[in-house]
Amino acid sequence: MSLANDLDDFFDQNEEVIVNEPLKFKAKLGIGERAYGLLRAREHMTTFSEAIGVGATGSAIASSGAVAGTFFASSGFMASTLSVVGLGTTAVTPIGWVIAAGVISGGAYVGVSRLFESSKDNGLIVIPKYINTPLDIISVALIELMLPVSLKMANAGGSMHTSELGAIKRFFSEEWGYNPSFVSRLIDEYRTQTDLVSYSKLAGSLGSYCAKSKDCDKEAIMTGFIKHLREVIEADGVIDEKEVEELNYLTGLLISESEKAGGSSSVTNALTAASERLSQSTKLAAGVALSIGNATASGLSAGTGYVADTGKSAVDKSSQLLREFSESEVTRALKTSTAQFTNKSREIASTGVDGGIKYAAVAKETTSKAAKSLWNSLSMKVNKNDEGSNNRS
Amino acid sequence: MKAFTKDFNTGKTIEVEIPDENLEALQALTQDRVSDTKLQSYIDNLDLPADAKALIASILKTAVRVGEMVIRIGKKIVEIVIMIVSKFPNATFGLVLGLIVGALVTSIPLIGGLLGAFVLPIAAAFGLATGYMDDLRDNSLAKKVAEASAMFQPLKSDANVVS
Repeated sequence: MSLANDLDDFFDQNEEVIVNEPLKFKAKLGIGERAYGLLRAREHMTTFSEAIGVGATGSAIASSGAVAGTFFASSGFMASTLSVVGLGTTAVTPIGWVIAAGVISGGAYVGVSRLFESSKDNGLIVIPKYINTPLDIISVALIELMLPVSLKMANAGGSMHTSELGAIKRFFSEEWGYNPSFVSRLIDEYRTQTDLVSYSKLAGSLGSYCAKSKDCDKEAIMTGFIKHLREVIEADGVIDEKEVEELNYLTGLLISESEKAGGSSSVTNALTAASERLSQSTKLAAGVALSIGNATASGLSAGTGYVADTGKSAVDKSSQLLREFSESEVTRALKTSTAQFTNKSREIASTGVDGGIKYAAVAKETTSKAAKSLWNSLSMKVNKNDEGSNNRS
Repeated sequence: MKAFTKDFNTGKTIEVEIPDENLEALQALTQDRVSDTKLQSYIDNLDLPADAKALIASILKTAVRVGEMVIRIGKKIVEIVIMIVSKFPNATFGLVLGLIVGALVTSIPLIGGLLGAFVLPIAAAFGLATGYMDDLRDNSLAKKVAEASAMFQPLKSDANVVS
């Protein structure tokens, strides 16, 4: 077969695409420019050589007359600082002090460089065009470690809500850039097997994979994953206590895995922060629920009280009118108002708690108008009767 | 028919006179078998360091202009290497790339100017020792490499640096 035919055959094959949007995927790995070994080496060299340069400048300044006095001071800030770093007693010659000044200035510069590097990390998202691991291998490994946990977490409340499933699909396809049909296929495969999933085993595997892979930033991946699990828990609008317990348990496992693998405190802090955000949102949700409950109770109480008061007043008025007028325009008006009131009350009962407050207000207005009209009519009738009696007398 | 490219090192334009009878063979080189996105996906899935993949991406950008046609030499070479590596699992990507680029640079002056600057970085990035071309034991692989080299022969002609 000729080379041209070989090429045609090879590129005609259609293989399933696992990651539709590779740049999204690489961004989520959080590895940034550290993906490139040569660049990494060059960056270190630059920082080190810059540090040497600044250190040398520091030494030059230290040897100058103005600074020498400061360094040779037997008391004061510099004396105590140098003692703390163990130089206060050993550097007895001027050349020793000059070297010390160089080392301290250089160290300070490296520290400042790192500070700038960390602010650079916060201000930018650096996406490497290429990573070291074949994309299909790393993508399958990560989804197989994370997806079963997401499904188990969604199922923790007893059932998997459609909105929870939607949050899982969105996380992997929209945030990570996986092919949605691949995600759906894996979900179908795993969702019935969540009972077999062990949080500790998967957390262990995820922690160790992220620690060993040259292309994974453990902090970025784990905190992103915890945030996603929080979204899954909150997706159906109900934060189940068991779901929260399981998330806290998993966060604890990931923190412990990170610490076992020699992870920095920043990973622990980030995971704790992600988990704390859940606690805050849980508190917020509980607060909102409590407020709604109080408002509903208050509204119902006020509505019920008003209905009772208005009803009592209406009954009193009706009784008074019925005593005075057996069948009159006023009686018919009262009957109509009472019927309207009854209908509104029925609506309150049938619409339920949510509409209760609104309908209580409507009922109040309607009854108030009816009572006012009734009272006016009654007053007119009473006045007319009084006038008639006066005339007769 | 004139063909032009830029010397990667000096930035100067290299010009060669290509015989008109090579036109049909050159048109075959302009044929796109795979989209850039799909090719990127193949590169993404190579088990190579990110630096080496970035080097491959630089090679992908190289091209020559022949009359009104643009031949993406780099893309064509990478396509061939990916295909050959899939057929010869024991051959590494770096070895096949080194063999093809080495063969083309030495035999076709136009490509020599275009890709000559990549020879050393390829050797360094893929850990190829001097004389790696002599290590080729697999005859069928050697045959494929020779075929790949022959595919670009219509570009062979004496080069002149014009500016």
